[in-house]
Amino acid sequence: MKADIAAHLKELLELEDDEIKEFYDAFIKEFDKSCTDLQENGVDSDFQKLRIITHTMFGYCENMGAMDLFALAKELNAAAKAEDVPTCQASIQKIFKMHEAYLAEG
Amino acid sequence: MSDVIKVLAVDDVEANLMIIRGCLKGDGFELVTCTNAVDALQKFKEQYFDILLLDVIMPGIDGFELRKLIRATDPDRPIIFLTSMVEDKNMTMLNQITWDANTYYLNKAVGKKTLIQKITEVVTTYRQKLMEHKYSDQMEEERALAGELQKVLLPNWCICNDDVLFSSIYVPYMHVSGDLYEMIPFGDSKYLFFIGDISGHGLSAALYMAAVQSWLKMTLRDSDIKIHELMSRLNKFFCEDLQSKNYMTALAAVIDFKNNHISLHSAGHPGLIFASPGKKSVTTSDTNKGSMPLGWMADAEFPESENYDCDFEDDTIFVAITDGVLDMANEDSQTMPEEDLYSLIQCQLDNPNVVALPYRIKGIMAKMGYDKAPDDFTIVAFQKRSARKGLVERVIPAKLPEVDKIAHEFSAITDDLRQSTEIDLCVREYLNNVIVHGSHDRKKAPDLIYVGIGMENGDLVLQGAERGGKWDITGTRETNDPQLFTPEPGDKKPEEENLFATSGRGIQIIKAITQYVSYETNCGLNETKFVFNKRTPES
Repeated sequence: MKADIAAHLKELLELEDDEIKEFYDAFIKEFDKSCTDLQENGVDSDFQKLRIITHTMFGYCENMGAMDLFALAKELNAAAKAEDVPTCQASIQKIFKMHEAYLAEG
Repeated sequence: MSDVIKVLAVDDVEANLMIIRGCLKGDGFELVTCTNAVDALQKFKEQYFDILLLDVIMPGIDGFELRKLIRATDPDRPIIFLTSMVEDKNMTMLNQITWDANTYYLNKAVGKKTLIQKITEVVTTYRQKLMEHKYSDQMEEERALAGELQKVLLPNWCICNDDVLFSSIYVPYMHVSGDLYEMIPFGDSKYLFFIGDISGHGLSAALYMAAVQSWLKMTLRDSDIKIHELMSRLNKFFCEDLQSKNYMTALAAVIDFKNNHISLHSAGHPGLIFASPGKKSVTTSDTNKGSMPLGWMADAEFPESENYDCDFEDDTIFVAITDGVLDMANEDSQTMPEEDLYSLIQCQLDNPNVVALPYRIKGIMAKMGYDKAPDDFTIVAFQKRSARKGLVERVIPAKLPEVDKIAHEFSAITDDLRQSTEIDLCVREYLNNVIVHGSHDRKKAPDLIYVGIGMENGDLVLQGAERGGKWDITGTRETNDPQLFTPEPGDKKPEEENLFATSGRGIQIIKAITQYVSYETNCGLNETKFVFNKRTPES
């Protein structure tokens, strides 16, 4: 579990250590879903869809305190808005890599 | 209302709902969550929620659309949008959120403390508003009840006895009123007439009105009281017993209908109007005589020398008003000049009708544009009964058993059997229609019906006046304009033409026996007149 997320949840919800896991798992589940959505939509599909996916990511990232992922989502959102295909592709790849890193942390 | 705050949270992302659950966990909140707007609407219909927490961007119906659907039925329920404003550089989203006065915004991840604080603050304000509305509705109901009780304290709108025919229109400004009037007999055809107007509006004026009304009834047991003494004692009662901060203008008169003499005293009140149908003239008692309003000074004097005494003609119609009549304004906030009121009354003298006069005055004023009432509105009119020669008049409760009595009495005014039968039929048909179709469905206690029969310009005329609901013997009454019905050959059958008078059987007969039936309504008073066919030796 990433330490910054745990600290954020602890402060935000005034949780005990043993209560944090449940929230972290919910976050990972949402992150999985976002990656699936990104894979399905890719850059070739519609930019509007990419913006909706990233908006969803803003919400749970902000809530859970995953600010590194929040920053990537913001980058992807801006690229989708500018319809900048290379940057979108690069951002999506970065998000996938971050997903792997989160999973590796358990 | 329980202390627990019921919250409906809507977000398509389960993790976000989980955070809200985490924030509101514990005592004080009852949370229901939905992941889409359709489920949320269903829940909102089924249960009561103090507040809604909505996400903005959701698949299908988004947060703004959901709010629109909720606002269609509930304009006040607090809504907090929980969203991140990353994309909102032009503040379009923020504007969307804030156009509604009962919508608030919080950034996601504001933390447990801030979220609870905001929800508590918003719900407390909302609950206070609900309480205020409830209290205000309750006050309104109580004011309406007080208004009804006040009407009970006042005389019936129409009185007809051996000495006087009296009619009044009384329209409180805010359900209750500071206006009052009385017509109290104290023997030998003498009456005390009193009209007063307590300053201010609303409940305080109404309570003083009730106290003064009761005081008058108690005091007038003393039949020898002089009019200026009455004013003096009432002033003391007002200043010392009531210790009123309000004051009252009043006009009191002792009227001797036997000797046609009136003695009145005005305490800052508009004068009594004397309208003479015979002379076609209108004068007032507004002279230099009079005293200051009651309640200004406990030791104020109301000397006998300030009484106004005069004799009057048999046919004099007395009209008294409160200030509210002269304060009626038009769209330009102009009030009607007093002289115009006198002219208006003078115009009514060609066809004088004491019962209808107060209502006609108000109706004509409204037609002239003076329809904005800033005050209570009262007009009373009365006339000596014996001036109404040849008329048999009664005021009866709107109850079916009364119909039989009146039909018998009125049909007995002639020895002509045919005419007597015609009167009987007409009276029954008219009164049954008024009672069944006019007054019967009213929530209030049954009102009164004025009925009179007599000769008018050589014709036998039956006339009635009542304040019931709509009914129409001609079947054509749709407007406030006078209706005139003249039967013609080939008229439709009653059941086809008449939507109101379901009894119907007598209508054809009435058409056959009357020259015409006229109907007019003014400010809630329905006047109906039946002019019978002329009797010829052959008929």
